[in-house]
Amino acid sequence: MADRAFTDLELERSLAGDLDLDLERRATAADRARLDQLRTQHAAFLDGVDLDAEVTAIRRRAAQQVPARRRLGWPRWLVSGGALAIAAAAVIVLVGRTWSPDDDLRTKGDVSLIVHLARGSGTTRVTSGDVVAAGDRLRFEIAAPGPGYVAIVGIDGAGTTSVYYPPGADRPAAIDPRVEPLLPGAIELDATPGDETFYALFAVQPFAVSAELAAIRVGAALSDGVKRAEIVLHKR
Amino acid sequence: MSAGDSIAELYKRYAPALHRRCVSIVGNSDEARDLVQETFARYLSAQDRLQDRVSPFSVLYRIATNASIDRLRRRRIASEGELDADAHPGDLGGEPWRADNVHDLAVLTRGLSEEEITVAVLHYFDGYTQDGIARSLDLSRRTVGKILSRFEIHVRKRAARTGFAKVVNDG
Repeated sequence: MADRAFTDLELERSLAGDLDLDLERRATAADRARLDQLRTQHAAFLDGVDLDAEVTAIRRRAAQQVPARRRLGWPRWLVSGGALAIAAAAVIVLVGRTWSPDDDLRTKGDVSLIVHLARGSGTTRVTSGDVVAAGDRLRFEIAAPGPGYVAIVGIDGAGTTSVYYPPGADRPAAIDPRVEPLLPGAIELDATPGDETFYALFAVQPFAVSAELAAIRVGAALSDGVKRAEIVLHKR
Repeated sequence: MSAGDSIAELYKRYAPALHRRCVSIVGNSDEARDLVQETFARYLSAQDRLQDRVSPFSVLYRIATNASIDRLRRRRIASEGELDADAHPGDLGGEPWRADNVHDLAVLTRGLSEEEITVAVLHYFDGYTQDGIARSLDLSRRTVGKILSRFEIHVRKRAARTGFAKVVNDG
């Protein structure tokens, strides 16, 4: 790209009317040639598309992504669960509660998310990139400097969202992580393969969980005061 | 302008570039078109949360890149770790190292944010300089440098576990 002043992405944004690059003055001959190529490719793509059908499909898919999918939540484990649930919770609660900084924790601000995995009779702490399986049970732990409100949400690779804690709620739960960092209950993973990102959302004031989740999905900023930490697990 | 018109307008403006992005990663035009639909669907479902100052293109581009990388990861699962020939990008200007790297990147970027994945793909797959990425995504040069530094740390840790080391070494 030595003879290019602009990247392909800049040129594409210029074509879309998203950037004013002052092409008349700054573009090289190679830039202009590439711009012509991209303009032709873009026109060819749109010529091959039924715009109305695409918009209809997009709206249908967008509607399918809301509301969030619900999965097995921890109150059902702890409140109404049978022997299996009780045994699983008992196993998980034995996990150590101490926390130390780790680069694998995706921390932003003053909150950290620690995830504990129970599989069979064993438990272990998992970090981003670890592989989990259907039937594995997860329990979440929060590290934060003081009391506040927390929610645990998840987004899988297909964009499907889940509110794990408080299960299905739009209002976060009040906690004091200094006193009780381990959140109650556990979730059991379903059979959907792929990556799933788990987010801990934390703030000193209550917030709308669905609104923050929507912001995360598109990379928008969270509301003022809402911190997040995340971990990605690979499910097979 | 209705919501439908708005999406139609956004689609006309941005879908060609998003489709090209997706094709370059997944290597299949039909699959890329599906990913473009998915990208707009995610954008539409969260549109009311977007801040006015955020460029729709930047948001859509991050979603599209992330969705494409995730598709590669799923494909890798489906083939039980063995990638078939169709899994390799087909429109990359004859630079085979990129075809290898995009699959390495799909594995190595697991656990990173959409922004980090987008920057890593532009740098290690598309060959963009840090300045080029900064200009293209409306980020500061310093932010791009920080993201790539975090990525390299992340990769080194994962490389020790998975055996991947090529991306960092080649990058």
